[in-house]
Amino acid sequence: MASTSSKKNKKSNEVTILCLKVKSQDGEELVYRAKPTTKLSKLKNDYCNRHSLPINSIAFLFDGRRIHDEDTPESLKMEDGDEIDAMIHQTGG
Amino acid sequence: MGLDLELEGLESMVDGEGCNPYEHARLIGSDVRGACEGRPRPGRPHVRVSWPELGLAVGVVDGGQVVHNLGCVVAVPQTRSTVNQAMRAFAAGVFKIFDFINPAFCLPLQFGFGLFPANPSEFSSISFVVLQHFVRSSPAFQLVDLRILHSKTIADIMPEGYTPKIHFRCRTSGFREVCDELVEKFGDQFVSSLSELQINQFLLLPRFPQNVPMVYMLLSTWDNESESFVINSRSLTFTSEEIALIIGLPNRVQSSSRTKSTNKFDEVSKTVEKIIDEIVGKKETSEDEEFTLPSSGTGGIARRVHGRNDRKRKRVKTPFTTGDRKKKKTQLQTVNKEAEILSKKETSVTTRKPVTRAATRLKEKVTESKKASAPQDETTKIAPSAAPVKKPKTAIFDVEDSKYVERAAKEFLDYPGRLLLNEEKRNTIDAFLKKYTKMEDTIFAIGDAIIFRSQMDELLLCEELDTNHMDTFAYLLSEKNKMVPGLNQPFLYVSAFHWGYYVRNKQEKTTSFADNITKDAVKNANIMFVPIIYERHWTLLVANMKNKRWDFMDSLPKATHKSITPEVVYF
Repeated sequence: MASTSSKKNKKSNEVTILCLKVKSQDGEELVYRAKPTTKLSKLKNDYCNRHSLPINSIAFLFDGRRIHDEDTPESLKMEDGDEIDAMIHQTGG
Repeated sequence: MGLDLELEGLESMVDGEGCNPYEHARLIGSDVRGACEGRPRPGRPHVRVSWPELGLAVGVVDGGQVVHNLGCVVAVPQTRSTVNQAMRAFAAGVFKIFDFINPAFCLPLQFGFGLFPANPSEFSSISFVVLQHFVRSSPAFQLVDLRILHSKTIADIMPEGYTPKIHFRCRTSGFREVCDELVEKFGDQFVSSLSELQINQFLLLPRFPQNVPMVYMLLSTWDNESESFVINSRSLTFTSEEIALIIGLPNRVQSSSRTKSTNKFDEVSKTVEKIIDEIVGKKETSEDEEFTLPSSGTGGIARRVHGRNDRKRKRVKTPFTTGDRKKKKTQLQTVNKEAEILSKKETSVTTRKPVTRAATRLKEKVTESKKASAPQDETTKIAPSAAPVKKPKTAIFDVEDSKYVERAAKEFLDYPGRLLLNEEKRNTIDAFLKKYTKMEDTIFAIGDAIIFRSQMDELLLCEELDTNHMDTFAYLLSEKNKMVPGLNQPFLYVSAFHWGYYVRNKQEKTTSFADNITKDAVKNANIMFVPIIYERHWTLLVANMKNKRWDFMDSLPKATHKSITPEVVYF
C-alpha cells in the first residue's frame, strides 16, 4: 500500500514542462522549457540577456497581446509548443 | 483653314460633348486625319484635343519631335522599342503596387503621367498629357512659355510656327522637383475634376475605371537618392532615360550606368525565391547531403585539397633532404592515385584521411542523434526552419537558468527645461526618479501601454521615442477626455504595434492592439489617429471620419515618409 501511495505522490509531483518558442523579427527561434507557473518575465530576461538587449526595448506578444511581467504560461493558457513573438520597439524622432 | 476647323472641333470638346481623336479628325476632315496618322509635317497640326478648363492638353504625335500646338507641349520618345519597353516596365511596376487597376490598359496611371496609347492596337503612336501649370515653372524642363487657348488661333501665339526647338534636360534628380511641384498643384479640386474627366472619350476604347488620386500618391514616392519610386518599401528603379520616356521629354544627359528595370527586378527576385525554395526544400529532406564525402572525381576545391601535401607532416618531420622530399612526393602521388581509383574506400592513407574522418564522424553523429533522440524530433517539429537560407537556429534553454543584470538608473537628472517647470511638477518628477532606481522598473502599466524608467529618461532627455510613449500618451489623452467630456473631439487610436504585428504575421484580420476599435467607438469618434514609425521618424495619419478624408502630418516632410501611407490606409 505504501509503495502505491508513494507512486501517486511522485506522479502528482511531476510537473509538466512546456516548450515555448520565442520567435524574433528576423526569424530566429529559441525554445524555452518553462513550468506553467514560471513568470514570463524570466523568459524575457533570458532572451534579452542572450541577445544583449535592454529589457525595455523588446515586447513579447502572445496571440497578438502583450505579455506583462506578472503573466505566466498558466495565466495565459499557453500550451506546449506555443509561439511567442518578440518585437523590438522602434524608436524615432 | 485647317486651323479654324481644328478650333471648331476643340470648342465642341470644351462644351463637354467629347470625342476621341479619330472622331475629332472626322469632324475636322480627312486631310488632318491623314496628317495625324502619318509623320509630322510642317504646317500640319498634330495635337488634336485640348481641355482648357483643366489645364490639360492631349497630343497624338509620331516621331521624335517636340510639338507646340494649342498652347500645350507634346513630346515623343525616339523609337518604338524604347517606348514600348518603358511602357511595359512602368505598367509592370504599377500593377504590382495597385492591383485594383484595370490590368488591360493601365490607363489611369498612364494618364496621370502623361502616357497612354492613342491607338490601342498599335502602341507606336503615343499620346501625352502635360500639365501646363507645373511645366511652366519646372526647373527640370525649363520649357518655353505655355498658354492655354480659349479663342485664339495658333498663329496668334506662335507666329514663327508650331515646332520651335526647345532646350532642356531631363535629369532623374530633377524629377523629384517635378513630382513635388505636381503634388503641390494637385489640390482637392484638381483631383476631383480629374476624376470626373473621362479620359476614354479621347480614345477608341470602352469606358474604364479611373483612379486619379492614385497618381498623387505615386508621385510622392519618388526618391532622388535611389532614383526610384519607393512603394511598399520596395524600390522600382528608373533610369533617366526611362524617366525621359515617361514624362515625354528626350534625355540629353548621359545615361546612368544602371540599367535596372522593374522587369529585371522581378526576374532577379523570382530567381532568388526559387533558389531559396530549393535550398530550404533540400534541407528539410536531405541532411545527409550536407555531410557527403567529397569524391576524388569531383573537380574544384575538393580535388585540390585532396591532391595537396600534408603540411603538418612536413613541419614535424623537418629537416628533409631533397632526396627524402622527392621520395615522399612520389609516394604521396602514388597513394593519391590509388585513392582516386578506390574512391570511396578509406583504406588509402595520407592526405585524404583527416577530411574523411571528420566527415564520417559528423555523419555518424547526425545519424545516431536522428535515430536515438525522440525529444529532438519534437523540438524540430515545434520550431521549423525560420531563416530561409541559413540553418534553422533552434536551441532549447531552461527559463530557470536566466540571469539578467539590471541596469542602475540615476537618481537625479538635469533634464532640459527642468528649471522652467513649477516647483510642484519638478518635485514630483524628482521623486519619481528617486523612487525608481533601476532602468527596468515599471512606472506605469495599463493594457498594452507600459512605461519603464528608461523610457521616462528618454522622454525627459529629449531622446527618441518609441511605441510605448505613443500608446501611453494616447491612453492618457483618452482618460482626460473621459474626465472632462467635450474637451477634445472623441477619437480612436490605432497603435503602431498593430501595424507592425500585421506586417510581420500578415494576418489580415488581426485585432491585436486594436481592441478599443469597436462599432460603437467608430460611430462616436470624429477622428482616428494612426501614428506611423518609418525610417526612425514618427508621422501621424489622421482619418477625419466626418469629412471622410485622410490627413498626413509630418514634421519633416519627405516623400519616403509618405510612401508608407497608402499601405496603411488600404490595410
